Amino acid sequence: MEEILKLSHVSKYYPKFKLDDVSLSLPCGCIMGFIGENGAGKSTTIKLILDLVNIDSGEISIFGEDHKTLTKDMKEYIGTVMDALHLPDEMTAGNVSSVMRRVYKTWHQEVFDKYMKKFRIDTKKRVKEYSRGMKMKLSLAIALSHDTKLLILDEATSGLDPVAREQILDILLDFIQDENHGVFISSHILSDLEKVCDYITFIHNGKIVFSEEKDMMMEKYGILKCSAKQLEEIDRDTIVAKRSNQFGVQALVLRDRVPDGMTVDPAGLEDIMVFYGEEA
Amino acid sequence: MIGMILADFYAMKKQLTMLGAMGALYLCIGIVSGSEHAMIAFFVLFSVMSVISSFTYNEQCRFDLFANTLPIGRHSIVLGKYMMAVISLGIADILGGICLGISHIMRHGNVSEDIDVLVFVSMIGLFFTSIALPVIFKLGSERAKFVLMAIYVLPFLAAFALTKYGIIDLDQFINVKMGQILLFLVCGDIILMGISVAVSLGIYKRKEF
Repeated sequence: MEEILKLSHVSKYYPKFKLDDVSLSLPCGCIMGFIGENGAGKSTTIKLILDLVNIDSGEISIFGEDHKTLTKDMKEYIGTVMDALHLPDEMTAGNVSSVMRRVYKTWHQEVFDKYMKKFRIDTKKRVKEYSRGMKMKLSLAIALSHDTKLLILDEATSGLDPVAREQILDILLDFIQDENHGVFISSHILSDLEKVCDYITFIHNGKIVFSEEKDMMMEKYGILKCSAKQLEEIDRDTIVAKRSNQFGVQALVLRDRVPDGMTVDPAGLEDIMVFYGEEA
Repeated sequence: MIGMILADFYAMKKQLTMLGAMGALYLCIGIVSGSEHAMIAFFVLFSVMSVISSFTYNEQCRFDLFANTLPIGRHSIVLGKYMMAVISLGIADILGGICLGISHIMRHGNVSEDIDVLVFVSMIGLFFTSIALPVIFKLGSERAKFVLMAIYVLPFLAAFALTKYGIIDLDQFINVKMGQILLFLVCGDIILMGISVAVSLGIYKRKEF
């Protein structure tokens, strides 16, 4: 499968934070969820992909080309939805489309109008009068109203109600029907990612912990609840992370290595992230 | 680039409407009172202010973060600001020209002197814009305010000091050497603008958002 986005040993250094040797790869026709706690490096990684900050080492390729040498024509194929709508308060959606028509050669006004109708956004209202949900929908409409092939979303569904989130997820699933498209989405709402993602990449303290197919990962990990003594009897390589409480021990384990007779519960994305987070 | 200029004008709709109203008021005051030369200075001042304000509006909503995800080069964003400055100054000159034209019809003033004043004030405006834009690209509009105040005030203080202590007679200097001053200003401004654009492009190319 061709890769629409690839990061190879990417590093970025700040005085108090280091994005260290980040590698991931998003195949065409797939949705990759990018998860991590606050301050883990998700937004920094996305800014590196979008060339908003300078890379210190490593390579980023988009559509097989180095991200720094992408032509303007190729940039038409990237749609971005950030965590907030970074447009002046006095602009209306109508003004936005007027600007975008002159920016994107592949701008489709009829598609934008369709999304405005679908999302029930008043094109004459100013951006400052929109709710958070409407701003995110406007942002998504802009991202989808040109010939986008790679859609990058950074916490785009945070703060949205379940109905709005469901609407956006449906749009993503529709978008990915085209095998030449790809979606890279960072989110704290792991239940959303579990629904739509094909791949999950987990970043912690600037390092990639894993980047795997979601279904395989959910099959791979499980939650074992037992006593401390029982846990000691299990091979250490089986235990990925553990947490103790007054009732016993909970461990994130590799399911296929757990001895017979022990009950392993399914592990969700949230469980995996919490266990890894505490272990570190 | 056109998209970015349009975005700036949309962002400043309210402010530009207010400036437009003030411009119309000053136009009338200038024509009626005969102080059209002072009004030209106001028009140019408004034009410089509007460009500097556009940076503030952009920073408030972090528009640069969005603009740099679009299929436009960083140079388009920078050149868009300079184009906006030229357009604003052009509008100021048109208003100044209208003011002078009407005033001339009413009072039959000195056309040559009026044009000299228009060009002189416009070139001063362009000079300050050329200095301001790289400073704002580097420091952002908030931090640049203090630096720009110093940059703008110093020449006036210098001219005041030179005149007060009799080192030069500014009035006589301007009257006698106006033609040379204008030529120097126009040529100097063109060169300064070129340097300003190059410096701004260099600054913005390396900027992180």
